[in-house]
Amino acid sequence: MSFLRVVFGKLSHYRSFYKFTGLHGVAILALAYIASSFSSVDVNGQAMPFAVWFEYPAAFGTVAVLARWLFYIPAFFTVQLVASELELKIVRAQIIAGWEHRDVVIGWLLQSLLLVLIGLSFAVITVAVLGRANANGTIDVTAALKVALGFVIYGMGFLSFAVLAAAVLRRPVPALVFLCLWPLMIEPLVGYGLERAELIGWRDFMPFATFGTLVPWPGSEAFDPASTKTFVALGYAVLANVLTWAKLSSGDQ
Amino acid sequence: MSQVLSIEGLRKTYDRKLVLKGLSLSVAAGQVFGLLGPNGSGKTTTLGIVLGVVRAGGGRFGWFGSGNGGRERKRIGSLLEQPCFYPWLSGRVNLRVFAAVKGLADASLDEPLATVGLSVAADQAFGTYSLGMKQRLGIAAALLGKPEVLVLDEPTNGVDAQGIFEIREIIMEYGRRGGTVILASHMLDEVEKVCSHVAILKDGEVLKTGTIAAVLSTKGWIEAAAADLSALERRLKEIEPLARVERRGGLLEIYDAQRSPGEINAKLAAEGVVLEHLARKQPSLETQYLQLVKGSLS
Repeated sequence: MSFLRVVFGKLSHYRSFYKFTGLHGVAILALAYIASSFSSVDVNGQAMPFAVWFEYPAAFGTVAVLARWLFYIPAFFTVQLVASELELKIVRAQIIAGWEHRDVVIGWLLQSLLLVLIGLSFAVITVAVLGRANANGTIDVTAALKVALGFVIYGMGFLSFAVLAAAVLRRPVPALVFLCLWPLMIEPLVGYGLERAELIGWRDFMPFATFGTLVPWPGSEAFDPASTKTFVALGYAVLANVLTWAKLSSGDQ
Repeated sequence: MSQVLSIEGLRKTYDRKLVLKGLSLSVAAGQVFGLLGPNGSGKTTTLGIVLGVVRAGGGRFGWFGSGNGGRERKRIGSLLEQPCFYPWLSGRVNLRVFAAVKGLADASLDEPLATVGLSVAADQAFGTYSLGMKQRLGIAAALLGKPEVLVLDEPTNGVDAQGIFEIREIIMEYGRRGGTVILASHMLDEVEKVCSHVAILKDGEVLKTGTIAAVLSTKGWIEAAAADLSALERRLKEIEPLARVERRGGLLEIYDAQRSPGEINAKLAAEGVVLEHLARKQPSLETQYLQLVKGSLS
């Protein structure tokens, strides 16, 4: 309970928290609205192939994919907050007050979970607003829960890397740059290097590539909670948190 | 008396420079213990290590005769260097967050805020506080939940004269109620006024430790003067053969005398020497402290 008190205490009076989460919610709704309006456009009298993407149960997957693209918003907030806590020596004060290094990491994990659940709530609201009944008139709750599970693991993985970047670099701007460059440049370049080294298929198991498979496009291979990639993604999330703990523990605060 | 803190052979190196050279000391329950030393003597590093935020390069320490982890730190109220809080939160919410960190869900926030005189400004954002107000909030956080031990590092930094007086009163009152206080300061005056015990640090070592009276006191010397100073000097050397007698202006200074001034006076009077001046002299505490840290006191 004390962890929750700390997380709620610091976030509930923080204006940036409301700005970032509000932006995340509006962005998910706006992007999904734009996408859904395209899906309803007929071309030469024929519906576009993605017209069904906002029908249940595909709507869950579609909105989840759009929402995961926008996960940079809570990730930026996380980086800013964690870097500030380190820069302002608040983490140091928490340790002096009795927290262990692992408690600091647990606090950040709970903070990440809160942001992921808020993102998930926005996604669910967006599906409720924009989702359309399919021909059968069913929603398929199991499929929806599977998408939600994949989304939560994806979010925790992404935000764990955001926390790690902030903990290692200790400044918001370099951490944000690193977080942007990793999936967009570093991982593709490393993947290219792996393929040149004839390590075919390894690039699919790099952190963000693996996270991406947790929230797939409707129509592509569905998320399987028991798949190897799910466990690899969970492993990366755990590894990021262990590395954050190791970084905190290894030096003076 | 039970040990609150024991430190043995603590070592720390920064950039290949040894800043703690096997420092050892112990603090017993109920003591108001001062860590006194010039800047760079190792006071803050020592406190940083025992409060879990600086890694020791060697040695060991323990709180309350047991461990040195978070469980022990939760029994301690601390202010190390500058107070660190969330700038966007009010003083009161910051205290609530830190009470949660310490596992004190039901701790009263009003009492420590009132003690440090921050009740009125408690709902202002910490970022808007003056340096003195920040320091007061740091002390309020240290007082949360009435801890068994207070550890304060330069607690009057940036505080005005009235605030300094109030903070010293808080510390002394805490000590009077039987609480243990460890106070690091480079200000002799502060330690002398507040503490019962002291350890003087210099270059990462403890020069002297004990009660204030024992550490910061010497036998001093005796001053004497007579119309014929040379005759007096000869007589004194006969009476006090082991003493060192030095002439300073129109006075003689007698060091390491075995007799009291009264005994010396009686002896001289019996031999017909009339003294014009006789006094016991002691160096000021400040002089003694400076001599100690400069290494000039034997």
